[in-house]
Amino acid sequence: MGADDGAVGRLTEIVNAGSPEKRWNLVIVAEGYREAELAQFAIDAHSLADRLFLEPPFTEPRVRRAINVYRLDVRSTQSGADKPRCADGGGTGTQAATFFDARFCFDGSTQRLLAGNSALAMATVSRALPQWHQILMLVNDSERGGAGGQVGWFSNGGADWREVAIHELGHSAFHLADEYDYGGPASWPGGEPAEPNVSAEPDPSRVKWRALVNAGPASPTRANPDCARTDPGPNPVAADIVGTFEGARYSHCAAYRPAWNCKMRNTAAPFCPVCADVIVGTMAPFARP
Amino acid sequence: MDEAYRLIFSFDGERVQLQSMEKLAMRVPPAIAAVSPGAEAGLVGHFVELRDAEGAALYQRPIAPPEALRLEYPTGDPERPLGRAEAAAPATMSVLVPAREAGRSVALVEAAAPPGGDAAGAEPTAESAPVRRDLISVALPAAGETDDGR
Repeated sequence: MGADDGAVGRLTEIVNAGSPEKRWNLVIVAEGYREAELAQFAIDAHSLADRLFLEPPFTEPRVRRAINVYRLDVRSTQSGADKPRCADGGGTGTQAATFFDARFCFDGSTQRLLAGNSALAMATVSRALPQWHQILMLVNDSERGGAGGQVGWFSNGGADWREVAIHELGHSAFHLADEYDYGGPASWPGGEPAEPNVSAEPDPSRVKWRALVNAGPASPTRANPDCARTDPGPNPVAADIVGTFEGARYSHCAAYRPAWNCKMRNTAAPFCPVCADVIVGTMAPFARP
Repeated sequence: MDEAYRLIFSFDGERVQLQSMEKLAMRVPPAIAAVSPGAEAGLVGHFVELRDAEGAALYQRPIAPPEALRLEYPTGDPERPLGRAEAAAPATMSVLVPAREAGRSVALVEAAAPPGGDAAGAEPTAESAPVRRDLISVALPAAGETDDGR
């Protein structure tokens, strides 16, 4: 299965902000859509673009005028994605003949991990639009799944797939770190993280986002009272306060995030002011005439 | 007209290798110093660097770790809605750097915290500075050469 199971069709501009040589170019690619389903792909791709531009700071003209969005119609022989039997008990053992060979249980043990041939995705998009910056693979399957990364993979099966896609854009396009604090060591093991929205520095007057801090001098703004678990709160300051909040980048302690909540912590939340500032700054060169 | 190099690398489980390099008319995201002023010193993580003939960085941006394909996925668990898994190699990654006259090479760099290093590191000392190593360094074509070096 793979590239023999379909064909590459037309590249269509969904959002036109200018020449691709000057703008930041997002390409949404169809995977697991049969010929007759490409009209649904067009609807799905447009809904993702519409959702993106409802999310601050993508609502701001200085960001909107930096971004082109395209959809690439790729026809697959069959709908959906492979669902091999998975070590976590998921999967039905069914296969779908699709162009990019998307499959759930991509690591052999996690059913919701949905990905495919990212090298083929890059090569295919490069032929259609050499100036691409980000690729999102939209998989036509009612089962919830996805995978972040430089090539992001998402099924259209979960109610919040658009929000998860925007969170993943935070990683791959803007190098924002996850601000949630589970899935890693209880305490951040050390060193200043490269990402602009997490820090090992608890002092809000010294942290790298200090220019945006509006919290008081307490260091940190909020310490996690129990390094064995996520800080249950409540948030001791107003929701729009920027400071240093302990618990970030998969660790409950010794890593700090700029705000109590953010899309990089909770996909349903808006981007915090620090992440929004990074997005605006990253897009600045692409907004120039 | 802005120009950039796109370099595509693969990782086979042991080594990072260059798969292709192409010069394109396009813009690239700003260097980390432009997005997060003053934050570029002492950072741990992975970076792409454009370097001049003396090896000085002309452009630096964070990248995802190339050695492993760590994927984030929706779990469906409202308490822990996102999970991470490590997928099998090979992994493929694309990086962009600006095409500048002084640029001579592109490197993928790993910067790790030293053993026992201090966690809080806004002003790193020599002892707490990250340990840096090149995962791969690729020479850019000299003026007049094609991208494949001819």
